[in-house]
Amino acid sequence: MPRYFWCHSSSLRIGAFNLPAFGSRIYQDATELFEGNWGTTYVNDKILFMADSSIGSADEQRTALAAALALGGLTALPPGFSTIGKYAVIRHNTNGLAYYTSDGCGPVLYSMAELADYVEPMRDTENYTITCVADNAIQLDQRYMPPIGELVGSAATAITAKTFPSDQSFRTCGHCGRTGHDTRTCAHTEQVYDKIGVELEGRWIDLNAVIRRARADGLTAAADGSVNAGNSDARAYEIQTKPGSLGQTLSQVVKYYPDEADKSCGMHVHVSFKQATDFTCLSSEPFFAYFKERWETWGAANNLAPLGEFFARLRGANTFCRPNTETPARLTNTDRYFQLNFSAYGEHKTVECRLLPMFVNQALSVSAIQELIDIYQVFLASPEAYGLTLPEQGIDIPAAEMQAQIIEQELEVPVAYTLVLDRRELELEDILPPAPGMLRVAIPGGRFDMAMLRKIAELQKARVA
Amino acid sequence: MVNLKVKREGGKLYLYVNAKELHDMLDAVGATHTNDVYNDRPATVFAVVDAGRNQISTDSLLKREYPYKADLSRVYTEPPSIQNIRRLCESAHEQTRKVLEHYQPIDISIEIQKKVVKG
Repeated sequence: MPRYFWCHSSSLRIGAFNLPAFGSRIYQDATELFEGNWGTTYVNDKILFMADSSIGSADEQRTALAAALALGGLTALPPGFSTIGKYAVIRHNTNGLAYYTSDGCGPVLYSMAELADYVEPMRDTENYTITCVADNAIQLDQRYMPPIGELVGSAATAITAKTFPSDQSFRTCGHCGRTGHDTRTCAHTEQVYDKIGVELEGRWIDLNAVIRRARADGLTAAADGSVNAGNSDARAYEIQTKPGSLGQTLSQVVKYYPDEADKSCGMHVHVSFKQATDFTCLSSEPFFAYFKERWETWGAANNLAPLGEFFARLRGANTFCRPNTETPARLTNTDRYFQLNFSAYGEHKTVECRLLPMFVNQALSVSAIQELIDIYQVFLASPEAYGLTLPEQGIDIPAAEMQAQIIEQELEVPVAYTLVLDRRELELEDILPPAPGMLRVAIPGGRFDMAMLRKIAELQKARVA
Repeated sequence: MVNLKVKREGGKLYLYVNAKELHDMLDAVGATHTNDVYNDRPATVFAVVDAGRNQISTDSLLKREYPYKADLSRVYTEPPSIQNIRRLCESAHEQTRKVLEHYQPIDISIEIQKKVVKG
């Protein structure tokens, strides 16, 4: 019997409602919830809205939810929830909006802050229909619509929303990896990354079958000595997803997620970029600071334990993923054991993020990959806004410096020429005196004309006289 | 005299060079040029940037385009780090000096002295 819970709690300690008609399991606290319940969709802090992973298909989810909502005993239903026709369950109030899609893409919850940014709710708009309700009245029921942002008139109050994908094939924005909008309506106007590949380290129970399936799907697999062997029947290995878009990557991650993982396992995410010079911007100190800040926020928002593996890695406690602090002198010639390994460019043309551990909950891993892509997207959209200033240089050589060089060259030329003059002077001195009766005449400039001849003739007459 | 900037446009890194003042000085000393570039340039094998040494080419300083814009994405075979870009900009000083030395005007004065030997 599929189980469906709707819980309301002012903290993460969930005072779950016992719904005997839909199963007896009650989640005691947040930890249990985060341990392996793939498909959970929730709004944190104030409201929890989740589907148990035992609900296999979208139809079952819808049926279960519709039935749950129709059950009179569910007094915990928040005001505004209702079933719509055969498929939709909608809640819309001033805090947020939840909707169900006809092809099993939900359930999805959004905060008002998120909704305000969205014009269209899904990336692939051709294959689903959304019915939205505001104040219990159907406003729109047609494809490609509605502009959800218009339905929502008020700002977020106390709800912090986090959207996790379901175990069905989900849709995310091809640019930023977020659900709830598509590339046409994404705030990031341009997709900066090219392809994504993920190294999944862990232990698989039926390893041979997993490897066979993975290789048939184009993934690669290899033994990994860095992964602890563990005490169970599961065997340690590493599976590398086939490089692809964000959606393709996440699908592979979900499909081949390891059955067991511990702190020896890392989830290394390789991302290639359309522009090689994006690596330049990412290898800067402003990006390192932004990277750290975003992951701190993400970890806190997901209630990850401060002393857990994720935050330990972020703090630099793991020597295999030390924090990046300085800009490398040369990207391809650096140590790879950093949170951001730029030397991967040499082999794969990628930046490798080695920060993420192999979360037990694959929903967290999916969220983390989306977060990483969003970090790259947001920073590269306007690196200047985060303090990255590209070098600039103005050169001005003083005129005095130029003048000094001219003088230096003037000195060289006369020295060479003086020697020539000296040699000529010596030659003149060595000439024997004119023969008796002869006259030696100096001709200035070597010019010999009639005036000169006349002068010579006068001198000759005077000498004879 | 020369201004260099590296800008990011459309995801690409561009080098902007404005050497108008340098060119005015070269014109004053009689350096000749075509519409695009100066003649008799210093010998170099790099059209824009020596990516290995992170040095701007002297040819880039002699393009008569204000500003002259070069796509660094096409120059580097592997992405340059910020340090590389910084060194590239800093190299402009030395390269500008090379250009000035190359086109340095030399004033040669020749004085001919001739002695007349009295007979």
